[in-house]
Amino acid sequence: MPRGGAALRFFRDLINKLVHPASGHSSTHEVYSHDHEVMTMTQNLEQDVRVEILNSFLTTPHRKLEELAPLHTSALERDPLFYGHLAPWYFDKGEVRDHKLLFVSHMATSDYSEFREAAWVLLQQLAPYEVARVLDHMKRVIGKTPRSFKGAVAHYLKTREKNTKQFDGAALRARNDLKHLYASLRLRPGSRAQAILFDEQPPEDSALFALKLLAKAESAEEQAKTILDHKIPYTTAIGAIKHITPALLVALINAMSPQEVINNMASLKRRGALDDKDVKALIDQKLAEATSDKRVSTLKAKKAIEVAKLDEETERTLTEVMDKRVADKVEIKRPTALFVDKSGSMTQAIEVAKQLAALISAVIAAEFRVYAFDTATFEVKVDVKGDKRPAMSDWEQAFKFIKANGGTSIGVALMKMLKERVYVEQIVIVTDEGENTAPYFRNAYEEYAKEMKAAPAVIIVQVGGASHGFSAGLQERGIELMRYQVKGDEYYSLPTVLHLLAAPSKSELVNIIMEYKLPERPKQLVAK
Amino acid sequence: MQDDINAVDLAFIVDTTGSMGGLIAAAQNQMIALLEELTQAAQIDLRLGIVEYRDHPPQDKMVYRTHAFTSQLQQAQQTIRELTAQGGGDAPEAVLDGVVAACRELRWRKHARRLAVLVGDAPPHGVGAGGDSFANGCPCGETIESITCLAENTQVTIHALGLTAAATTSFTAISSLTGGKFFAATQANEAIQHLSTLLRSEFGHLELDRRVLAAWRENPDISIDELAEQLASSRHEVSTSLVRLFSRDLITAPVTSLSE
Repeated sequence: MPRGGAALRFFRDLINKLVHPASGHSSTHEVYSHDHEVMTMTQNLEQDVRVEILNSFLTTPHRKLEELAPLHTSALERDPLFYGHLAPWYFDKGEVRDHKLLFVSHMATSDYSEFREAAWVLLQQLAPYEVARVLDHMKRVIGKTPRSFKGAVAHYLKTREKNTKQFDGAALRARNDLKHLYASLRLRPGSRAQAILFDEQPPEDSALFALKLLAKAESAEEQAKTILDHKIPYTTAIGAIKHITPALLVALINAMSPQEVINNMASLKRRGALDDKDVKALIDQKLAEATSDKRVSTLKAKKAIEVAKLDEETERTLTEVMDKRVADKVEIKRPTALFVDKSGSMTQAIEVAKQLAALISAVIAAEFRVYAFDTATFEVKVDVKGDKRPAMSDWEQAFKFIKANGGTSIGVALMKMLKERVYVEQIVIVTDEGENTAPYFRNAYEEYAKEMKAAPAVIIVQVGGASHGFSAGLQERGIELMRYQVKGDEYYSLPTVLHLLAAPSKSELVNIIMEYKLPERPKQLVAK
Repeated sequence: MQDDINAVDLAFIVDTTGSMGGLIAAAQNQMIALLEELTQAAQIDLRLGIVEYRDHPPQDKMVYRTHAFTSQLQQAQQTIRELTAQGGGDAPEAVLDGVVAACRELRWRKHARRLAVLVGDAPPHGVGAGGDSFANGCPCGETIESITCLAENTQVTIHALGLTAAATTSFTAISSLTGGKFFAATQANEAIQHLSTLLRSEFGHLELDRRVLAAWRENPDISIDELAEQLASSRHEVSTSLVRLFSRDLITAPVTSLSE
């Protein structure tokens, strides 16, 4: 790390590259050492840091900011250039909310003013409860809340106060979080915000006033009318109503966004919404809207399926929503193979492989082959009619009677592809990396590369196991490799893998990330 | 077949060279009581086998000795009482021989859940440990890769308890490559606690497997999602349980369904 005046030059150079990424983003980059000599960071070091950050996408449990924080701290220290580009890219493409909050927290407390500026802009995109979590994380874990952050939150709150509809929605959903932000940062609310949040005297035009009316309403019809007239959110209204009737459910669902329907699927089911024909039809209509709603999160749809234990039809609809959302986001253009380790130690891998096969086949526009292997291999073929893409249930059928037994030869699947002259540009391997039988993958790879004139990228999805020997052996031979760990049943974050498969290669993905500029405030706001 | 789901064959593969005296004494006192408590609680038809290993000549006269599976835990207790810790010679021991003997010489039941617990304080020969008289490889000709392949083929999951740091790397590899877990313990009591945790977790899986099998037998066409809902379990747990049941041949596939 450079010191003294050289450090200043280093950071100027760094910021210059962040703000003007097109000026150079080769796979190696130059930084200035303390004695002005040019020093080159090795590609391996860069890749280690970058792959480590990308790896975390797959293994992120929700709502455990403190466990993820060291990863951000380390990445920011070791490769600030990449971290700076990764933040806006992640806000655009990433699915795990915790990472977004951590990017804001760590950039807002960074020593680089340009990072604090970026955090200022990114924070404006968060929901109030997320801003409150950022604040808490900065205070409790990082231990500082700089003045610039206070300014960002002040602007955030003022903007919302100006838009009364947005403010009322926020007050309904996250009243305590808003109060926390005003109080903790000693920000003075406007008179309307003061009345709603602190004085409990909501004005008659406010949603909170409507909620009071709802609580006082004596008949179900009156309650339904109040919900419809004031568009009271489901989660808020549900707490104020004792007895839910189908008419009330219709009113509530009407006021919901497609994402809210998905988020509250388990609660709706508990309240009998799926048992009433008309109510269920309304839910289906909302889910149909979800396929084209860009705000719908694929991860949440997947979690809803897991948690709500839905009926077959609703689950199929929701799965279609999810697949459509994933398909809208990415398209895999490179021919791809999925290798599934079915050796004796791999009882958990088969479920992960099914999920991945379904996700990939939903978005791939090139050849896609699936092979299961122990010390022998066979192709897992899915039976679909016509031009239809295989769904999860089709893969379920294809994998139905596959046992976990036998030793492990990952190379055997690649040798079969070579024998059958199957050309691919990327290979996803679901395995514990416990290769213990020839033909070994590293040898098979060299033979495949030579014969097929190809250099497929290898993406290892490690399930169980603690061995790194397999991937280390590939890296020693210079084989392009990305590695992800899936722990327990955290496979719901697998859709993130699709972004990586959709990128033509790992280095191109890094280049795509490096193209993202650090966000800056509009000039008129800076002047203020 | 109906009761096969409860069958568990558990083999201890134990280093009985001199340095293992402390653990063996603790095992003599606590092991059988622990197993009786666990098997009664989980209604398990347990058989216990023991493989003791030491080293190849001239380091030691005894390479390994197997004690056949028995369902009489008192008899197993007698075997454990008769284990003596002695000899050993150089630091690495005949770990690989012990695992091979467990896989090949013990008579595992066809449908049983097959578990082995490897307990030792020294690595195998030929893995780069200091003071190794057989640094180029164990005289048995086996390697960590070959014995883990054998264990996978025999459907034996090996968990490992390493009692010193010297055993950590090789024991971690042996356990993880067969689907098992590694535990480090520096004292005998700690090792027994790890064993208890491990077996409770394994027997917990068995309880789920039992319920999944019953539901499957009632309706072989049931989907994984329906099973998960019926058993109030997650899709992932149910799916993994089904793979375990297929792998133990407790559920057989229709001949026409096999793509293998």
